[in-house]
Amino acid sequence: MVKIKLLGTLRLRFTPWEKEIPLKDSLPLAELLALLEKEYPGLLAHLLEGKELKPGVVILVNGKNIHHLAGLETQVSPGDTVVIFPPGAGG
Amino acid sequence: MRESIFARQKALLGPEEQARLRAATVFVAGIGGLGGFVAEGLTRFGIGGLVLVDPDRVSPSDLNRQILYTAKDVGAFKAQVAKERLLAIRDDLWVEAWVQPVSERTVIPSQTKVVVDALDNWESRFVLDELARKAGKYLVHAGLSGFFGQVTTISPDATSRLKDIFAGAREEEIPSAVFSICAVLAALQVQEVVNIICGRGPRLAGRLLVVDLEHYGFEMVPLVK
Repeated sequence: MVKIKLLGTLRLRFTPWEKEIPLKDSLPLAELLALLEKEYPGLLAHLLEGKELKPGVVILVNGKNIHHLAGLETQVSPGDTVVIFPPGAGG
Repeated sequence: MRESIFARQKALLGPEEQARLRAATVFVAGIGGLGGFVAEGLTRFGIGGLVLVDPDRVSPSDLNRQILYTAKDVGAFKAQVAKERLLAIRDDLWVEAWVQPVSERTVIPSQTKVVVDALDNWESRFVLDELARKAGKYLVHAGLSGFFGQVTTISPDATSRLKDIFAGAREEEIPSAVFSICAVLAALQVQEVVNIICGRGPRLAGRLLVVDLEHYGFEMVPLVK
C-alpha cells in the first residue's frame, strides 16, 4: 500500500485528498502517477508537461523532494507516503 | 506602561520568557500580507526589536489584507509606514525600516534571533534562506496561494534548506490573497518565532504545516533531510 496525499489547490479539483494505492512491489513514481490518473482523471495534465514534472508542482516521497531523489524515476515502495502539492508563493 | 500591556499574557509567558522576547530582535523580510501581521503580532507579544525589509510602496490592492496600512498610506513606503504604526502600539520598540529588496548583499544584523520569510517569490526566498544559513539563524517560512498555504522552520544546521524542500516551486503571475489566509499563516509564524526565542521550540523544524482554509484542514507533513 502506498499513501497518496493531495494538498494545496489540488484539493479544489480532485477528491478524495487521501488515497491508499495497493502495491506489492516497488515501481517508478512515473508509473504510480499513471495509475493515479485512473483514480483522479485529469491529474496527470496538472502534474506533467510531456514526461517532465510541471514547474510549480512539488512531490515529496517520504518527506523528501523528488528533485533530490531520482525525479520521476524515484522508486516508490509499499509503505511509502507520496505528497503532491503546488506550494504557495505569495506573501 | 510596559507591565499593563502584557498583563493578560503573564500566565502564559513567565518573566524570564517575557525578558527573552524583550531582548530579542527579529528580521522580517517582506512587510505585506504576512509580514505586516507578523510584525504587529511580535510587537504586541513584546519583542524588543524588529528590522523591517521591503522595497515597495503601499498600493490600493494591498488594503484587503495588509493590516498595517490604511487608504491614506497609499504611495508611501511600506517599511516606513509600518514602523510608525508599530511605534504607535509600543513606543519602547526598537525598529528599523529598510526600504530595499532582499539580495545577496543584504546583511542580517548579528543581534538577530530569528529571520521571518514573508516574501512573495521563491527566488528572493532562496536568497534569504542562504543569508540565514550563513548567519546561523532560524528561518520561519510561510507562503500562500488563494485559501491555501504552508509554514515551516529551517534551522541553521538540522533541517533541509528551503530550496531543497521546495525545489521545482514557481509563483503564479498574480497570486490571489485574502486577509484570512494571511492572518492564519502569519499567526503561526508569530507563534513559532515566540517559541524559538522563549526556548520552547522550534516546533516546525523538519515539519511542513499545510493549511487549507477552503475546507478547514491542517496537515502536518514530516520532512526528511
